[in-house]
Amino acid sequence: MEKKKQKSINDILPLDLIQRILLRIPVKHLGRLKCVSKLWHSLISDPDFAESHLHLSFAPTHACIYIKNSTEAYLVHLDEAFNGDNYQVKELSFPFKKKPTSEFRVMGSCRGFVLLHQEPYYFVVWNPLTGFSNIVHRSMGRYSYFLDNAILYGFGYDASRDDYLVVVAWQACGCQLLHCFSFKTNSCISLDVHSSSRWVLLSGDLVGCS
Amino acid sequence: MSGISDTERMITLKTVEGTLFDVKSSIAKDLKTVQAFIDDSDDDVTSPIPLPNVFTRELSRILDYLNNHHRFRSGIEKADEEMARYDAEFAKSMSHEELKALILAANYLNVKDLLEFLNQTVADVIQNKSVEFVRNFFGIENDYTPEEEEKLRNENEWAFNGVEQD
Repeated sequence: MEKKKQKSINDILPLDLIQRILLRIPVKHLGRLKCVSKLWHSLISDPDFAESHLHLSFAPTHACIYIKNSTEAYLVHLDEAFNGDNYQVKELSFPFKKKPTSEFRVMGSCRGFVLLHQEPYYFVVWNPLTGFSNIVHRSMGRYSYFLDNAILYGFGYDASRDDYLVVVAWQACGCQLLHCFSFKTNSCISLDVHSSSRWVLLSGDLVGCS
Repeated sequence: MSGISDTERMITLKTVEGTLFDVKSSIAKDLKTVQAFIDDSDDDVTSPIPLPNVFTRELSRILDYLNNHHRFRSGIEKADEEMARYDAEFAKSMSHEELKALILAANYLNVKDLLEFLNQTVADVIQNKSVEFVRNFFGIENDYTPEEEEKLRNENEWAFNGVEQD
């Protein structure tokens, strides 16, 4: 653009209108749009905006990630894959600063976050679409987190407390033990559960049925 | 005329340029700002209601949209397809400047459905475009230094793939 257009009041849309437009843009484009200006950056980075974007679901993201090994992961948008022949397979970069020394496993995903566990101590919460990651180091107390021994484990969201939880259940000495780790409080609750109870992880909610 | 029912009552609106538009009160209900003005008035509104922020071109388009949508909603079953076709043509018929002007007018007049539709239209236009295009569209100045912008682009590098050329 050679000549700078004269700015009139009609050129500039008010902030709340811009926000309502941004709520309709899929997450995969929002990272780029943060570069438009500092105001847009803070608008898009605002946690309330993220919450609204998720709940209003004008532009839901349905994506699938494939973790090939500890250095390769890929992402495909499912609506692209199902709607056309040309879909992009995006290579993702892991949130680890260096190649992990031991294997890691995907514990689950919830609301766009993927939980990775690197044995025995590290949990990583990772959003492959925005690049956000948070590493939590957890010393395990009585039990080491070797998940091969777990009956079930999962990652979910507790709306009542606005908290993300990791749940792991083991069988040991005839008892079932449940560990529930809260990211908000960075602490763990362990519960001894009656051995006849069965637990099922359903869409991020832990459901007990006996 | 005698025995005028509520739905036949006409409201007169006046744009910035002074053009007068006669609007059925059933249509005026969708212009929530106007309806609020009517509701707040003690007497029946007989003189033209001035709209100091709305130009003739925009009001004409808004009324066209509302009249057509009312027609679709009260018509036969096939209306959904016809409405979608109308909406697509409506969106395509405007330049980006006209689209922005219409959003401003629809926002001022508080025309909810039209505003949602226009917001989606703009979202569809800009989502795959470059940062420069978006700045230009909204008339936004870049307040990042070149270094800051470089850093941001690197952090979000994956999002810059597959972007349409301007």
